[in-house]
Amino acid sequence: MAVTFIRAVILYVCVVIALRLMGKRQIGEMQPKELVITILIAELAAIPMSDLNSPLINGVIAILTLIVLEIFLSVISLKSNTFRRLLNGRPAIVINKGVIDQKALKNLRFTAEELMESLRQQEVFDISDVKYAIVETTGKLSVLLNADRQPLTPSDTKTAPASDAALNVCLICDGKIKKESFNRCSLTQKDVEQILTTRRLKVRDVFLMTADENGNYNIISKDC
Amino acid sequence: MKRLIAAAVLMLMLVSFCTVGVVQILSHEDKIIGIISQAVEAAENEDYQLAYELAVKSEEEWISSEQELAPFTSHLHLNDVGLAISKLPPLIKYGNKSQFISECKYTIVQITHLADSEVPSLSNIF
Repeated sequence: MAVTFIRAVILYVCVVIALRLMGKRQIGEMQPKELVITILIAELAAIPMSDLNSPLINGVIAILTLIVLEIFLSVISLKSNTFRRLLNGRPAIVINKGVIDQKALKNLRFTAEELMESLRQQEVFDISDVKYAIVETTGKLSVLLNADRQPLTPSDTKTAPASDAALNVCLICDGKIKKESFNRCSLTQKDVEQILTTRRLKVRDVFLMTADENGNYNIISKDC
Repeated sequence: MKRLIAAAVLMLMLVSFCTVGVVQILSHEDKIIGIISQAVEAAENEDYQLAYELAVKSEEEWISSEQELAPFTSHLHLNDVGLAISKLPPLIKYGNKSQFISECKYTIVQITHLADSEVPSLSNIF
C-alpha cells in the first residue's frame, strides 16, 4: 500500500510536469492530437499506479516520451504550414455569405441538428442571422453575424465609449501582494499600502484587490 | 525555445536511460547464465561440490542483480527467475542431478527470455 501511495505521488508530479511542459490549452480548445495525448497520459499514469509488477519508470518514460514528441511536433507545426495542416487539418466554412455549404457539412460529418446546436451555443437562434460560420480545427464553431444583427458598438453610433477599456490586474490575492502585477497598473506598492491604511486594513486582511491602469481599484476584504 | 531545449534534453535523457537499462540487463544475463552453465558442466562431470557452490553463487548473484534490474524490467519475470534459481542449490545438494540440470536449463531459458524481451527488436515492438 505504501508503494502504491509513493508511486501515485511520483506519477502525479510527473504528469503535472508533463502537462506544464505541454503548455497552456483548455480542453475545449485543444487540437485533436493534444487531446489524444492528454488522455493517453492519464491512462499511462494509471497503469504503474495500480500494477506494482510494472516498473514505475515504464510509465514515466512513456509519459515523457509523448510530451517530448508533442513538443517537437508543435515546433515543426509552427515552422511549416503544410505540416500544421497535415496534423491539425484546416478550418472549414460551413455557412458562406448566409448560404449553408452542405458539402462541407457532409465532409465534416456535421448534421443540420448539430449545426443548429452549435449556433445556439453561440447564442444564435436564427440561422438567417449568420453571414459566416466556420468550424475550427478544434471542432468549435465560430460565427460572424450579418451586420444588421451584430451588437451595437460606440463606433456605430459615433459616440465615445463611456470609459476606455482597461485591464484589471490582481494586486493582492488571498492576503499576499503580487509584485509582478504592479507594472500593469498605475498604482505602486506604496500607494496600495496607503490605501489600505486609510481603510484600516492590513495586506493579510485583503481577500482580493484589483486595479487598472487608470488608477481605479477594488478591494474585497476577507470574511472574519 | 526554452521548451524545445527542455524537450531535447529530456529526449536525450530518456534514450540514455533506456540504453543503460538494456546494457545492464544484457550484462547481468551474461554473468548469471555463465555461472549456471558452469554449474551444469560441473554436474555433468559429477563434480557435485563445485556444482553446489556455483548454484549458491548464482543465487547470490541473482539477488544482487534483481535489485539492479527491478527499475528496468517486469517484477513478475524477475520473481519467476528468482524462484527458479532458488531451487538449484537444494536440488544438487540432495543429489538430484538430472532434475538439477533440467532446472538449470529452464532458468537459463527464463533469463534469456527476460533479457530478449527488453531488447528493442522488431519482434518485441510488434
